[in-house]
Amino acid sequence: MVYKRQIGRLPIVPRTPNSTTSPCHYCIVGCGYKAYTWDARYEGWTDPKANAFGVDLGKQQVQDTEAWYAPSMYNVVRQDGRDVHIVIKPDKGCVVNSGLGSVRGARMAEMSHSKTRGTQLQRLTDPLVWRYGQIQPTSWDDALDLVARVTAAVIAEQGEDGLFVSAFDHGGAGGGYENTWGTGKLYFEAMKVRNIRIHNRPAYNSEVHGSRDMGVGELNNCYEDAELADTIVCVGNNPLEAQTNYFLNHWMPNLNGMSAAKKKATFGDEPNERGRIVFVDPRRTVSVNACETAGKDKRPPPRDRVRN
Amino acid sequence: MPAGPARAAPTAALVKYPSNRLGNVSELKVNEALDVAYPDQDAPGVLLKLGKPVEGGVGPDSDIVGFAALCPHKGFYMNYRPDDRTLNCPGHFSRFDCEKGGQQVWGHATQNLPQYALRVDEKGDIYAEGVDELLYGRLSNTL
Repeated sequence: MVYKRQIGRLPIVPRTPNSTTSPCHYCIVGCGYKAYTWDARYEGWTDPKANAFGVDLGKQQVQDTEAWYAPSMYNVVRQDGRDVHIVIKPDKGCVVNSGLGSVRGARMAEMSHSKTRGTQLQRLTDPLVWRYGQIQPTSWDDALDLVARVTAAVIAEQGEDGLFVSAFDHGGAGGGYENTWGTGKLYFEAMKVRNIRIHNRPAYNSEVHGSRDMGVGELNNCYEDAELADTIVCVGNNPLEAQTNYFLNHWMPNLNGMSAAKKKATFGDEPNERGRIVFVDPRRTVSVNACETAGKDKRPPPRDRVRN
Repeated sequence: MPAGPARAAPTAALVKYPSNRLGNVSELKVNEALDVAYPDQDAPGVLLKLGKPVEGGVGPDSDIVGFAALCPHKGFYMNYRPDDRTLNCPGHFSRFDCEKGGQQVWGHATQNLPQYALRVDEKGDIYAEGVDELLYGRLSNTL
């Protein structure tokens, strides 16, 4: 039987909640999200003056509205020692996702540690260190002190090149500010470490061996380029699944002609047609399907597909 | 944060749904969507007769189901595709299986499609009496 939440309403974000904007925890795309928290004893109301969106929530809101959030975007969490409601919803003002949420980011509230609602209770709340034969929780001060002592000892015994680091990656997105920014500043800028690897990879490089040597550096374009390109060549990847809002918010407008004005402003009188996307993939992915669907009835097939 | 005490009465996570007549069994043709609205005129939906017993199905053949027609991802109006009996979103390609209680086949909604709790009376009139998920565009299913 299909899973249903059996929910008919959600608490309303009040007029003046605590509000922050933040990049998504998940993939590298780095979508913007708005996070609202407010005391668990209160909620806003439908009156435009009584909710954070300034609209009458007693009416049906239109598509793409900012004044709606799914149950997955709501939770009750602990903040500064108090129970608070939390709503984490896509930020319409962020140029990365323009209010779009994916199945990853749109679940950040639901995927938060909540004793009240029993979600994600397995998440770590303290740093863990291996001591006296077991993993045990400790304070951040203690954990960082241990890292500093081990680092200093390795350098004293073996010199700077004796130090090997295994670190987070994906700045801006996957835990970017807390994890990547701090470690990046320390190891790249301050210590200039030579031996470093990131999450799934043996070295600080692309998953695709030799791609840099080939002249194709990974992640070397800004998102706007995808709106302006004549042709996007997509080899062995599935951007609608894996980088959803980069694809939906930047590739799609190029494919369906929505970025024509931007192209004109950028390239002037140079002829510019709608973008084309070439997929090279043995799989018939949802990205291919999306391009076919978006291109249907408007123009010749928007892609050339090469199967191997 | 309100300055004074909250004036709103506490409300349950579920709301009180009206029992609304959406149509009659005789109006339905197998595998054709009938446009309806529930729980009010601003909440579009569809009634479907699928021709075989399905999850949540009512009527003499247990094959009549009703779903919200706005995609729970970004609220676009979805189209019914008779060949594989799915509701499809033109906005961002989400798809929902009408034979499986509105389960998302693929897409970026974080909920399955809201399905109506239906009842058929002795005259063949079809009534909706509830919804099992939050409807797009409203923080309370009944306004």
